[in-house]
Amino acid sequence: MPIGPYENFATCVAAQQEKGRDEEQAKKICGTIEANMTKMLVLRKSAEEQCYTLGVVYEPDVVDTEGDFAKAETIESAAWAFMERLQTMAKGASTILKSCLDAEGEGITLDVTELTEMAKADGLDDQHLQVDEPLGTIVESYLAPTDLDIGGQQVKKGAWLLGVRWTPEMFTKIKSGERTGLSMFGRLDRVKGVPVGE
Amino acid sequence: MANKIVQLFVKNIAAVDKAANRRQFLVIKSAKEGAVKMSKEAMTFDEAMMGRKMHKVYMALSEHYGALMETLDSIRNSDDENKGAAIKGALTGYIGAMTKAVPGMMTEMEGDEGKSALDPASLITVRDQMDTIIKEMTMADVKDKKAPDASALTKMAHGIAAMFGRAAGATDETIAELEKAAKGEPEVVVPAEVTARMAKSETEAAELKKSNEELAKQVTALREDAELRKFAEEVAGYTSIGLDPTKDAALLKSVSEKLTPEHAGRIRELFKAAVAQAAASKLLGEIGSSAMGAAAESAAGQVQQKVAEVMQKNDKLSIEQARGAVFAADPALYERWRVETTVKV
Repeated sequence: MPIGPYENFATCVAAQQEKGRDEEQAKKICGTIEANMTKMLVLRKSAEEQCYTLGVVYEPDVVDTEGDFAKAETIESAAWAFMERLQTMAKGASTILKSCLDAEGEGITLDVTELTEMAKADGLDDQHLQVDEPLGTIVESYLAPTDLDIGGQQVKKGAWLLGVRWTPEMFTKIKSGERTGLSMFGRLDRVKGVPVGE
Repeated sequence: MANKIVQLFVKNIAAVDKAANRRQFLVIKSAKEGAVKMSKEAMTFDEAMMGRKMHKVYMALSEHYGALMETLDSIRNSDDENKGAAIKGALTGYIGAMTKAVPGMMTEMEGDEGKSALDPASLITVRDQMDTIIKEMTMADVKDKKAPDASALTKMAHGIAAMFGRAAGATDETIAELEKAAKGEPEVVVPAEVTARMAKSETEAAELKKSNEELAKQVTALREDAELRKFAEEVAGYTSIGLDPTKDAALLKSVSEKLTPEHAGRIRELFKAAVAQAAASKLLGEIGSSAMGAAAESAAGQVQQKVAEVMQKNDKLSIEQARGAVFAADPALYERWRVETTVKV
């Protein structure tokens, strides 16, 4: 299997060794490239099918099953921060990979502060089990600019909508009804006893 | 009144079975089916209340289940040599925690009539997920030849799932489904063709066994006949002392088989000695009764004739004395007589 610009893994290792890296370093670099290529292949395969859902992450001034609600501006802030963070992590990962390839035998220093987060950078989960493997790709994330009617369902202005292309395994669960909606996971601050909408 | 969220940081977004926002997917698209519209039936108040209660129960279950999975993963990836015991410990802890938590869940669901308070599909999903993890764990550990007893673990997992269902008031049908593997080995369905072949093979094997037994009996009988013939031939040598080959071959066989070789040999010596004694008595009887008792040309006949002649000349001599005189006068005749009358013992 091709490894990035190289014909196969052995060719990749040989090329890295020609650049002055020892065998262990060469294999680590080629392994990183291979892992990213594999992930891309998986995503490409699932893209051939649609495996798509559009769902509401949260909508303003609607009390959820936990007795919480949020204003539109709070949801907007969270939605933007979420997407910014994902893209920042993707850019960081890209930078690290590029640094590895361009190091040309010299030592490189990695800031691993958010490396754990990068290892699971698709922003998706299954049943809040903190699943490590790829589950899909977020292809749409937007805030309803006005009240919408989508497929006969009313969506309030300011609702956070998420479009996802899931892996075939996850999509099978969705089609079978094992997964019916979206739920966010993170941190929040509450003010108790507030009339809904205020 | 409600809780207003004022600061929100979203780490990830999960696909879930029951979303806290009470929303289902607006659009689902797959390659072949295209867009699938979701149901837009209005939710009733009771359904909304049930959703709230179920969500709390679900979250409580998820916390325990998540902790169990985390423990099992940790065990799977550890260097622990006795992973089976560690897993058993984790499951025991899990059961203990659930036993404490379930009453609270029951209280949460109180007031709802009937069963099926929990979604049976969720329980079955929990059970299936546990099965999957156990299978993966077993596959991983096979490399190290430390595989835990997957069958026992699977039974425990199914038993736990059934316990949830029972505690949460699931229907009997759901509990039966969950307990299917917990009660024992899964039923093995054997195709009719295989059953027929097995039955045929069993019949053939039984016939073959019967035939072998008959052949074995025949061989045994033949061997016994051959041995009896051998003993009958031997007994034929003892007819002079009253033994009958047709009747006493079995007796001699029994003597040979049941007595020690020394004793059996001694009995044969006695038989032969008796035969010799009978032969000698017959000879002497013939000598005493008639000079024509033995053929004239035989040594015995010549000895009889000469003994008679000596006794006629000296009537005071006994037969033995006369015979001794004959043998002393004719050593060659004695030698011929001895050879002729000797019975090998």
